[in-house]
Amino acid sequence: MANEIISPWEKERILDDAILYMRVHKNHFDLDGKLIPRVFQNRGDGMSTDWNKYSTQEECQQRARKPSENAIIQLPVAEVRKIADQKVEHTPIYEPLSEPPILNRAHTDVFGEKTTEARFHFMKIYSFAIRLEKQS
Amino acid sequence: MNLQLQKPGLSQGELHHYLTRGLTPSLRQKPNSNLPQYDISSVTADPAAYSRPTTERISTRLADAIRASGYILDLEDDWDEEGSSRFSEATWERATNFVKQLALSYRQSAGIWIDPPRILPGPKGSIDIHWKTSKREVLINVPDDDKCPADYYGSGGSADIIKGKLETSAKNEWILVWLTR
Repeated sequence: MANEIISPWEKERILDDAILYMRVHKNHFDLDGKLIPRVFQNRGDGMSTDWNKYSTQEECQQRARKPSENAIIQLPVAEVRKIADQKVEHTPIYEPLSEPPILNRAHTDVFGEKTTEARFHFMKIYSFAIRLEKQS
Repeated sequence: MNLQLQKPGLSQGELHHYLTRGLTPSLRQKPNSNLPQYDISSVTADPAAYSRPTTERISTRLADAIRASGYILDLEDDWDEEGSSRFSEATWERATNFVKQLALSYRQSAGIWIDPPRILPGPKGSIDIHWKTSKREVLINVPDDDKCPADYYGSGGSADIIKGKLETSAKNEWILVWLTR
């Protein structure tokens, strides 16, 4: 009988007043240091973010492969839900046996196709939580 | 206004030429050491351009913006650490030719050059064109597949929205007319 890993974390309902943090790799800035709309896209089924109930902006940054090469932006859930076809869903990750282990109770997906229209609107609602460090 | 301060390095003759006809071929080919270099001869180094009407040449700022966007072609596989692939030159050329044609058409009808857009890496090998004025902005996505039309969405407020698909080879000057209205 295979060992089944059961997540201790239930999926929770995310209220409109919540904030989502999202990592932005340094290559998602243009030559003038402005964010590019491409950053708003799905990886797999959804766009990966962290819910501020279970993650600080610093913790979100530390989950990057190279934290210093990532800025953190924040998205108000109420505003995300106003964008056509976008759904915010708590999707905690509990994979203690993966290499390295992935334990992220804050993980939240923004499902829905990231059309040109959707990306346009995401560009209007984000703000910076942690800016990119100046490159030497 | 001291034009010499705005265009350092121009001789008196070159300054006159710049003011009356645009950059000279020698200046246009001068490399900018801060940016990746790309052959944009089809844009600026065509000697025949001088025999065409003024509107056939593109503005210095637009040429600079196109040249600068060439960094997109330098991005290698996994450039975003998310496994994304590099961009094709064909897609970049389709996007930049589209921008040139739009700007030229607008120059012909309005008599002025519009500020250049941001030409950016888009999702799934596509190129994004983000064109913005003080009142309106539009995001145009040129897909990797040259058989697919570009997708656009623009807004100048909740009651002033444009969206749809367009052929990049067709005349789409109306977008810039809307943008600058």
